[in-house]
Amino acid sequence: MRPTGRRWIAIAAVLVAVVEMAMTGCDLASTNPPDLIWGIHGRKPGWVHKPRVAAFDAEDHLYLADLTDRIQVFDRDGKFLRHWNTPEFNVDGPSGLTVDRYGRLLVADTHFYRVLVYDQAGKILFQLGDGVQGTAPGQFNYPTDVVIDKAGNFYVSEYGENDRIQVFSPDGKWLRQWGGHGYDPGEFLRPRAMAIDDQERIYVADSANNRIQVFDTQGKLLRLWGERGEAPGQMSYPFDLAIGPDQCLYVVEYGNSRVQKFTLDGKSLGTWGEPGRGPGQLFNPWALAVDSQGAVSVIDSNNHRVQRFRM
Amino acid sequence: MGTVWNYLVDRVTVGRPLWLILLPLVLPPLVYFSMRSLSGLGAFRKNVAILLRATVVTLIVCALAEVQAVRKNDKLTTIFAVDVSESIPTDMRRNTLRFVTEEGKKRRTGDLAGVVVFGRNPSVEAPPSPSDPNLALGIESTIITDYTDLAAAIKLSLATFPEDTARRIVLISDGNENRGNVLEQASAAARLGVQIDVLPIEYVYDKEVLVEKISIPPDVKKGETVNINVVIRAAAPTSGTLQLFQKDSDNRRIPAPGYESPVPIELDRGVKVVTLKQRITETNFYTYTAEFVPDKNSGDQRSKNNVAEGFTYARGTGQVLLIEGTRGEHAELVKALREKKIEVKVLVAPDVDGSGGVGGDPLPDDLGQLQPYDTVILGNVAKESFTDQQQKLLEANVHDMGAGLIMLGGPKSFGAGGWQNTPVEKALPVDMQIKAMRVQGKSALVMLMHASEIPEGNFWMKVIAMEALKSLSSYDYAGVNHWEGKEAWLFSLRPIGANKGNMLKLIDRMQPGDMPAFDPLFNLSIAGFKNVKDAMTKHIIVISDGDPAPPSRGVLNTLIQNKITVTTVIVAAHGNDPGALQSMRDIATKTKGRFYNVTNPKALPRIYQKEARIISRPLIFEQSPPWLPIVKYTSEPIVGFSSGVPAITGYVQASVKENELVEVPIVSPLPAMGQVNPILAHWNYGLGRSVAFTSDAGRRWTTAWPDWQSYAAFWSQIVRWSMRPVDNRNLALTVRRDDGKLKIVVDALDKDNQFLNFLQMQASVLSPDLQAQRVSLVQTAPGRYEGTVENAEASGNYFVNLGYSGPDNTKGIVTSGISVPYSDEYREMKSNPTTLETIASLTNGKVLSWKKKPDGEVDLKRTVDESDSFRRDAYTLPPRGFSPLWPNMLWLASVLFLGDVAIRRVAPDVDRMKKSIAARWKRLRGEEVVEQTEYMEKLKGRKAEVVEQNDRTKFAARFDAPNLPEPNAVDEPLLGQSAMQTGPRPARTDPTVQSKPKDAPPPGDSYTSRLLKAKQKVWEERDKDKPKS
Repeated sequence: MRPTGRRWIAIAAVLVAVVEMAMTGCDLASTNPPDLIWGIHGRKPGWVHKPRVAAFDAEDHLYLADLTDRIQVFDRDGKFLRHWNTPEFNVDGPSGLTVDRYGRLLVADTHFYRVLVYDQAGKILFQLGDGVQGTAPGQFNYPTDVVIDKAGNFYVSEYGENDRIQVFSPDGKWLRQWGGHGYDPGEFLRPRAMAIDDQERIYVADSANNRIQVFDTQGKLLRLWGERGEAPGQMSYPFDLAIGPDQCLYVVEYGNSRVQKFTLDGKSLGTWGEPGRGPGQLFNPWALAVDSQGAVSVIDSNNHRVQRFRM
Repeated sequence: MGTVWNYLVDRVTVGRPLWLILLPLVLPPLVYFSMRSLSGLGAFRKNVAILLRATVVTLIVCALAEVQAVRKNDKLTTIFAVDVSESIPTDMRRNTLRFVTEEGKKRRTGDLAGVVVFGRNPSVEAPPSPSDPNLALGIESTIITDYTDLAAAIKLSLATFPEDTARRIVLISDGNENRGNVLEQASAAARLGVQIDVLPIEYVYDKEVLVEKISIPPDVKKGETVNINVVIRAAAPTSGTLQLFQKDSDNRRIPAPGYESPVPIELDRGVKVVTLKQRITETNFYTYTAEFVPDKNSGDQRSKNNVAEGFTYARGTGQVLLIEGTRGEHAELVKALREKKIEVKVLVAPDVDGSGGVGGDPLPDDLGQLQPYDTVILGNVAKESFTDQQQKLLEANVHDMGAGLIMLGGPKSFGAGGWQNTPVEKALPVDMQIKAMRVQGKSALVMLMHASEIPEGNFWMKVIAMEALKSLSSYDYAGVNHWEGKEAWLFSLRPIGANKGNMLKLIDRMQPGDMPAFDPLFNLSIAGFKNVKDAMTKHIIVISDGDPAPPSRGVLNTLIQNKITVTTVIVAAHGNDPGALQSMRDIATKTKGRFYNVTNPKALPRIYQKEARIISRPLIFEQSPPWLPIVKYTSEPIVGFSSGVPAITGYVQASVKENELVEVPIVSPLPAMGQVNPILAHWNYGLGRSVAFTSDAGRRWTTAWPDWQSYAAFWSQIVRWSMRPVDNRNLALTVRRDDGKLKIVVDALDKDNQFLNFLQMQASVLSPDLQAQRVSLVQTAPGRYEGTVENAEASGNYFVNLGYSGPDNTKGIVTSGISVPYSDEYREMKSNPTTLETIASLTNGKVLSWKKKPDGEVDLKRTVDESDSFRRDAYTLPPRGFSPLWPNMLWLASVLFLGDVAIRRVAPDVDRMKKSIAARWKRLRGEEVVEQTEYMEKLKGRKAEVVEQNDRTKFAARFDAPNLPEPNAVDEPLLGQSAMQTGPRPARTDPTVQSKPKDAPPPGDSYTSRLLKAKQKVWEERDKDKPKS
């Protein structure tokens, strides 16, 4: 009677171990899986072909540009609503999108050396820059992003021959500029994106320098952080950033294929994502957007999809 | 029971049924032994315990046997297979796309719709997805439309279906297939339970005119007037004009002399042969085109089938084509040959830049253009001046057309010119690689690949990397790095040696990404070069659109310091961006590399070949003073030169092919490394002959030769030996094409019009894509020989070369050819719904039809309304999906096992439970409950029983041997007991003391404090042990 019992205990232990192994073996998903994954690869309306930039408006509609000449609008869950085409097209689409607080869509029409200001229906209101590639004040090389301050002034980042930020008045008059191509503090190597906080501090993703630089509206460098690497606080090609409703800075890293969350002071609060093609994995993502509920939609460019998650 | 069984069979399946054998092997013994070992439990608990055990074992065995649940899925996937080949009338093609768009909208929730489009090749236009297929904007796939392969379309559709839905194909086609076997694929679909609905597109071209062919005698003589017969077929009487064109030397179409304006003709129903006359004025290759233009109201609908082409050539005395790398480099040779009455035409090969070639003359790019020449001489010209197609042409011209090929040496010839691993190398009697040679100037090449957004960018990346690798010698080092999510080596810098195959495989799988900056990749390359100590040249080739951030000054300086040259190749995806151009040019200038601005991706492979060739040139051997080559013997081409040839100062090293046909009459004694250093080698290759002369023709290494009195005699003799022999012209070669096959018929007569019998005949047919097919002709009648070549489906020119040898040792070559003007798609005069109906009936599908409006137009709405591509009928087989049950089974087994333990350990008192329930029920109803004294009494009774038992044990123990362990001292210690056992041992040695009260815990010494003490004691003992260990 008793030996039988012990054997059963041993077998039960083996069973438990087997079951345990089976369970851990099946559960390969990331510890923090995304809430939602959407996007079909293609050029048809509602499909995306290497999406590279996106922004939410006040109603949580997502404006998204990809390697075609389209700007497409989706609802928060990826349901296709409408689209329109940019006036001209040359291989890539625009690489910068911002919805300002007037509901206008500010588009950095990168390869046509200008910034287009659209209303929500896709009508062009006006443009910044003369559309001629140049280095003079008011001209653009490759504009990458636009933000506006409380006074309505436009801040446009660009790369190419001039890695700089130019400032325009609300009616498009050139005001000032700062930056320049280089490695020193205050200089840029491909400023890819910008974000502006309540205190009117401008956060710049200085992508090829692998750092975030923070300026006031006059261009005075307030602080900078980051260096190339994979550890928390380090970065590899920060391509886009956004400030969430929780007053934290979300940075998407092209090189590390992840999203890193920072306090506005630059303290790393954690990362999400790893290189790959599965759920919770990213493949050289270009952009992210944070919605009103604080969820992050990351534009998983080379996987041709969008993943939504919370950090 | 039966229904349950049926349900189980329907819903459950077993993956490895063999394991189930365990059940009859294990269960009976289990039950048997359990019956015995559990006999003390009482019948009910025993039975439950056995049942549980049996269930646990059964579950484990089932888990081992991979029992799976079968899921039934009522989803349906419909794939629309749409024929877009040329035979489909344009308006019907539009209707088809609209039909698919509208029909796709009838998708039910959960259903998937996909689209496969096909012509000669099928392609997935829209993979099965839960969204409406939208073809309103046309199709995006690239389809070759000149043939129809229904079978391939069905095969691809079958492969595209998802696994867990029912499947249907809706095939929309005219049913005319000219490739593949659709019925075979339809049966395959039927076996897989896939239904095929068909929607036949019906048409009749009842007024079509076809120019079926042009027939020209294959061999004509200069000055002769030939009859060109144009065969025209008309489906109805009609009228129009006919015009004859010919190709000029630049391959352009111009009106043939005498046919500057079209000739009006009337056609009856049926076939008409129109004879046009042409005078052959010079020895050349002639290509004629006849075009019929219908009158406005003729009703002829398709113009592609109104043109046909034919060719012929007029041979004269021997002519030679010399292609040289630099203009005038072979002036002495040309002069010498012309002195000896050999006609020479000289072309200068282009040098390669970003647009695919610069300067030079257009080189022949079809076999016809090579036909006037009996030998081609390549004079110090590098491989990259020729396209792959042209290289194949040079080889085929020797092997299959019987012409000669001579390669002269020079810094751009043989291995030094990058000719290794080319078709031309195959044709020559020498190999470009040197085996077992001490090589001094090794080079190391890193290719830095950046995905560019040019069309098919990835494809070109692979092509160029492979070409560069092939152009390097096996002693060199190669490495490729790129951006694959981050900077990485595809393979690090290493000797090519035997790794070449693996390297090519890796390149084939390469997926370069979009890198933001150059620095990390340059740093990676620099680190790679540091590990290579013996490389004379260190070179990086960068291909990019110039968009990444340019390298920092520090990185550029490191490159310069380490003598690493960088060639930059910009592929302008965004047009000519001055910044990108400038930064790419800067990198090249500062590191002493070269800069290419590529406007034509086809130039890329040749740029890479050139770059690889420039850095990898260990094969040239130069030395002064001049030395004399050795004439080992006088073979046929150099009869009469036994006294030797003048001295040389250099040549390109090569190794003799291991083939007994190769003759090497002249060799170099230097370098004296024990191998044969060929200067002159020759052999017969296929129908032709080829010669390798590894030194040059008078300028660099053989400066003494042009003054040699026998210079002209030497070269003219070699060139004449290589030339194509002149035809005997007593063979009439006819080529006919029928049903996608070529039929070759030869009538052989001698000069006296007597039949020539028992000839050996080998024909070689070159298709338009230069694939050679060989066929032996069989004699079928006196003087008549026949052979058939399959797979002559592509449109274009077919060349037929016939080599023959007779019993009296006569040999010769006869050439002919046939032109297939347009694909068979244009020969279809009506659709073929019968095939489609057969497919539908084979697969239990439906035959749909286009509904027409009263005016004859297609009524799309009704057509869509009356078809139901997402219907469920008796033949819609719901798929079975399998989900493994073993994890659930193991869980259940472990839970049941706990049940088994419980049933044996916990004895429920059924009587008491009954009573308790009854009492509660009574209380609930407000009745009085009789006091339960019975339970107390039972408890008391039990206590008395235990006391009595204890006493008995004590009594028995007094008579036991003192050292014997207590029977229950080992197993299943209860808490109280174990506490007692950790107490002093004397209880065992002196059982009499055990029962004394002083041995019991002292008053106030609680159970917890005793435990604490015991614990402390253990700790103390451990502490004592520590220093020892």
